[in-house]
Amino acid sequence: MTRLEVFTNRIELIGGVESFVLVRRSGEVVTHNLRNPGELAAMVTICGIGANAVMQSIGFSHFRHLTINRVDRRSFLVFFLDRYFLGVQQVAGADDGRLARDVYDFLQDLLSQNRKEA
Amino acid sequence: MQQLIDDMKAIPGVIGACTYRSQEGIIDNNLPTLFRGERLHDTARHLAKIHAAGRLNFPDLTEVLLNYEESVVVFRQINSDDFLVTICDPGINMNLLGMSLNLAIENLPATADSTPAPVSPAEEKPAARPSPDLDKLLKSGPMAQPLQTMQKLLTKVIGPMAKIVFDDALARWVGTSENRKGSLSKLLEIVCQEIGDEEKSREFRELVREKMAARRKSDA
Repeated sequence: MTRLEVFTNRIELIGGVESFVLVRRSGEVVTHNLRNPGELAAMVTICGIGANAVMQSIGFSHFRHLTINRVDRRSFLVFFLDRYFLGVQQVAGADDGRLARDVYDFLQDLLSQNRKEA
Repeated sequence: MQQLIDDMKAIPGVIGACTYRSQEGIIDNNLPTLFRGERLHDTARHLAKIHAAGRLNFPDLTEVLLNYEESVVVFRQINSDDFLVTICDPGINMNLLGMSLNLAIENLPATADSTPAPVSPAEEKPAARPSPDLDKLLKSGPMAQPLQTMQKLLTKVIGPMAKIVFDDALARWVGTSENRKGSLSKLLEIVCQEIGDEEKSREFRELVREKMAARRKSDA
């Protein structure tokens, strides 16, 4: 099983994840489980770059995640993962605070594993 | 608007707030001095861009929250022109904040266009798209070729969102310059600000300079 397959399997197991898209900072899609990831991938990239720009202009030290709240209570979340951005669509009615924590912890685990292996 | 940001600041966990209008910048502000000036303007501009990108995919978007180690930034549309930026402690009670925001915005004096509610895609303002004049500028006339070249070079550097970034920069440039070849360096600066990433800005500058130098050589 490739790293990408492991990533896909694990992210799909997190409670509250309906769909996801992982993109490079250039906007190129790496992996996803959406029918048509193109527009969401572009949005995730713009959000990721924007969140990074806000961090630099204000001087914050560390970005955790971005949440787009919607009327139908299906939030969309964006995370940093090294040179990538991850967009996650929340299942309607799921606890978005818990989802954000679970995805963030999963990504931090991945990053620390990568550092150990490097 | 001053009353709105003062009401926000009274909520436990709120550091301060400001209002932003895309054409005019920061309007009212009660944030600590750390957040003031050009940095706050840049921040609001980036937030507006995130909001616009979100709206294209989710017409029912209500607000954007950015969670950093030190703070949470909440960006919400008040009416068709104005946005509220609220900066809070990371441990703030989000339910309390959300309800307070709703109440404060509802209590704003009614204006002709006070419609913070999400718009349907058909009604959506084409803010992130070039106006017909910008389209014309890009497609015909003496500026078309250098502008198209710059857009292509930007695509090489930042990929698929180059069009959105370039359209925004072009709209700002048209508003501030005489759209002459001599003012292209001003456009270059605006695009680099819009990119918001030093390394990519440097790469884009170098590509544009190389291209311009090659063109000058072939013209000579």
